Amino acid sequence: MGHRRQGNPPPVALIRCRQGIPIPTVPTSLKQGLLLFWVKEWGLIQGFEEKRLLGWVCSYTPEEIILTLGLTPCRLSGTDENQAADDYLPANFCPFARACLNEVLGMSGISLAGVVLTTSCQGLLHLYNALGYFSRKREERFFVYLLDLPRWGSVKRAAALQEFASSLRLFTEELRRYFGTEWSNALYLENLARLRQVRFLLRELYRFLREHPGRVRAAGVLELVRAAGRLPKEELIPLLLSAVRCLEGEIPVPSGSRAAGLLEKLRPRKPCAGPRLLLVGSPPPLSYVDLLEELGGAVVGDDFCQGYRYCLPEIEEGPDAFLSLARGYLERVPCPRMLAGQERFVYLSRLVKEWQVQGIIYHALKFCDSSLYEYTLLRDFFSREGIPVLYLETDYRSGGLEQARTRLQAFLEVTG
Amino acid sequence: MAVMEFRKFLRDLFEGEHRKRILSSPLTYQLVERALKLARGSFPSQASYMMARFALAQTGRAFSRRVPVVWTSAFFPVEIVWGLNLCPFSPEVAAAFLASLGFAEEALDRAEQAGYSRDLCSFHRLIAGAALLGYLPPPAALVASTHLCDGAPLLFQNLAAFFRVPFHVLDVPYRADRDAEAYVAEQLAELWRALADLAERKPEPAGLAEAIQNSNRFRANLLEVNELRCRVPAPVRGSEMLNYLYLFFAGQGSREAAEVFACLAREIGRGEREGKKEERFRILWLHLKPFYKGELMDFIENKSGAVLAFEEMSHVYWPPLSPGDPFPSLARKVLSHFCYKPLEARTATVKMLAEKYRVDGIVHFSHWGCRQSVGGSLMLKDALQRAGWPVLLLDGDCLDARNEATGGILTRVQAFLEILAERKNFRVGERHDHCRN
Ligand code: SF4
Ligand code: SF4
Repeated sequence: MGHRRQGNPPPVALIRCRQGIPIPTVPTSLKQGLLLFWVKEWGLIQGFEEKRLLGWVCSYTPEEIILTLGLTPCRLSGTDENQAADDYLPANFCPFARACLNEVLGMSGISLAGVVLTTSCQGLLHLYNALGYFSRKREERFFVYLLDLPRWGSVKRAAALQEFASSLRLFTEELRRYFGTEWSNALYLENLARLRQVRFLLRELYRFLREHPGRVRAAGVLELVRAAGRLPKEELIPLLLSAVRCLEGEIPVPSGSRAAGLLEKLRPRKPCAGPRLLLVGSPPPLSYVDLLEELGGAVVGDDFCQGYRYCLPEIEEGPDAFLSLARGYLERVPCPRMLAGQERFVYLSRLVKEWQVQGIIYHALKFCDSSLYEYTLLRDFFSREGIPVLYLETDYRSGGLEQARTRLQAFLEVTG
Repeated sequence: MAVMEFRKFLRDLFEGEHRKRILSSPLTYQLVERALKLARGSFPSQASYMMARFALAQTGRAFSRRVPVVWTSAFFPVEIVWGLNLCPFSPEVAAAFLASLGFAEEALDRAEQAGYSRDLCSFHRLIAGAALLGYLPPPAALVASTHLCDGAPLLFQNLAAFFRVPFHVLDVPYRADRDAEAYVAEQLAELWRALADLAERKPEPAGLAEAIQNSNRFRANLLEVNELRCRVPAPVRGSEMLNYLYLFFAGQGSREAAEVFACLAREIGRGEREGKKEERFRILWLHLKPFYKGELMDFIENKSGAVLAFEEMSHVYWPPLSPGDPFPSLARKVLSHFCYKPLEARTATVKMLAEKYRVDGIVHFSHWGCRQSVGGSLMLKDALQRAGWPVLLLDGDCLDARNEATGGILTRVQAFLEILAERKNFRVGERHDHCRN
């Protein structure tokens, strides 16, 4: 499925773990130079060598594999700064897929070596088609790969596990062939540990958010999770660690440091002491999350694939790496696409209880079947549980914010 | 009774506040069967009459409560259900039928009240609404396949919760290698056993083998029809073929579905089907058509001088099945769909059909809520145009008439035909003068 290109493996940074909170000991040797897009977004990483970046989208994509093969995973989260997708995907189509296509087609100065997508939904299948179509038209060598992802919620789990494991094996094989890199078990274990650290630290941040909802900006946390999928992990880990420690008051904020920059991003714009809210559904435009807090809502967590669910996979060091990865990713709480409605609702209602949630904001992206169908079920489920649910629909852009303001305000009043 | 009168009879019968009771009463279907017999002579062909009779009998059976009803999604290999002699029910076809009688709006409104967004496929919204209104036969189980359509399995999951019955999924990988085939085959075998349990019967391989043979006959007869359709002028119109939706979605594996196409092949072979003399434009039609009573199809096929020479839906893309090896061969069937592959596969198929049926242009009916078909339409159009084919993307909706701005659609078709006319070196206006109607 991929288009082949040969190349040398890039150098790989190492990291070792201590007991307890993991600490990186060997930082990467990053070259100064190319300004990459996260520089623009975050102003954190000053330069980065011309690595082979592999774009990815769905939270079932194991970054462990990409890293082990010497590539840098670069999670796409879409943009509406250009409308390049208009030539490929129609207007009445998943706005997230369209935004991701804009992002890839609009990238300049960044050498994305390719993109891996999953068979999650028609949105991603056609994004795959569009990327393939684009690269063929331009006669560019670009790795476009589609990873088969079983519907975990609905089939026999042993079979689905095997199926996903073979799908991961094929993906690895194709990456190896295309990029001319080799799989190393030792490296795999290092990356496993590294991602474990990232997820652990992000979960710590989420814990802080729900324990002190007014003290950290929820949209900032989401922004950070999005960035975590594209920042070099060895850069990210010390940064996250400092941020968590500063928030907990264990260490003072080192002025002028990257951690200080990050904490600035996480600083709440206004104290929010309103009802405790859980965000569910498709990834929202972050301006909506800020608006919620501005209106006093206390966001205590989310169930987004670009949010809390990113931090949840637990991968064990089993004898078969692919089976362990398949198990770790599939056994994480399923997303709506997995057709595991009941399991999701049990999980969400557990979150509602444990996190003392008073209201749910359900965000659906226009034309996203997975969320649009789930909403009706979820609304009925939580109305039986006595938890109010507000439905919010966007096209992944910030437009319509003012119309939403009144509805959100009214909801917060009822919920509070 | 003429066909038109028969339709009016149906509309009148189901009209009014007792619709739910009337729709679900077995007596209704006896009555309708009598009316159908009276209308027999006025059906355009024996094949279309057979199709109506078959669909009616199955609907009556579904409401009879004598046999477990299994709701199946459009692309699920329904041979599995026929092989157990259960009653398959295709809610997507039922939705098209309700829309054709003019009852779409009530069900669509009901679905919207229940929280189903207008951006969802209207087939599925209509099903949701009709289910909530009690217009559909209650299922004993729902079965959906994940290839080609995201909406169906998601909707079925919701409805299984509503009806409190089991929901089974056929999870289809995108790649079609041996592992994928084994994965699908294993699920099919599992499903077959689960459905047999549901009906409290022993799964009989002989029953399944018979369904597979029927399905092969269906395939062979359809292939024959398709070959005969290469004739110019076109012996069967695309809009008629698209009315055989029931056979495609729910009939494969039944004796009757195979017979309908055998009959159609005979009718064409015997020259009983005469094509339009003035066949100005031959069109290849992609995706489905509007099923409600609107102007579009009438305009295209009766007024514009165009004919739907062939439609994507009727293409036989799968290899023959093997009665001795049912599950792997059904898995191959599912995995071989050209729309569940990189878009180039659909493009290549469309090009091949366009050449085979010697069409002048290609129309893609872009049904509003269909992610699968609409999602790839811009690239498909581009690729086909690069290969020299005129293409029209026609935005519309198969069931929700509210999504149709008739004037706009007709103008677009007209403009497209003018382009085709230019290519053929004559103007469409000239032709209109001697075109019938
Ligand atoms: S938003 Fe929905 S349709 Fe779009 S990629 Fe995500 S799951 Fe698929
Ligand atoms: S029209 Fe498209 S979305 Fe609707 S049922 Fe068919 S495949 Fe699914």
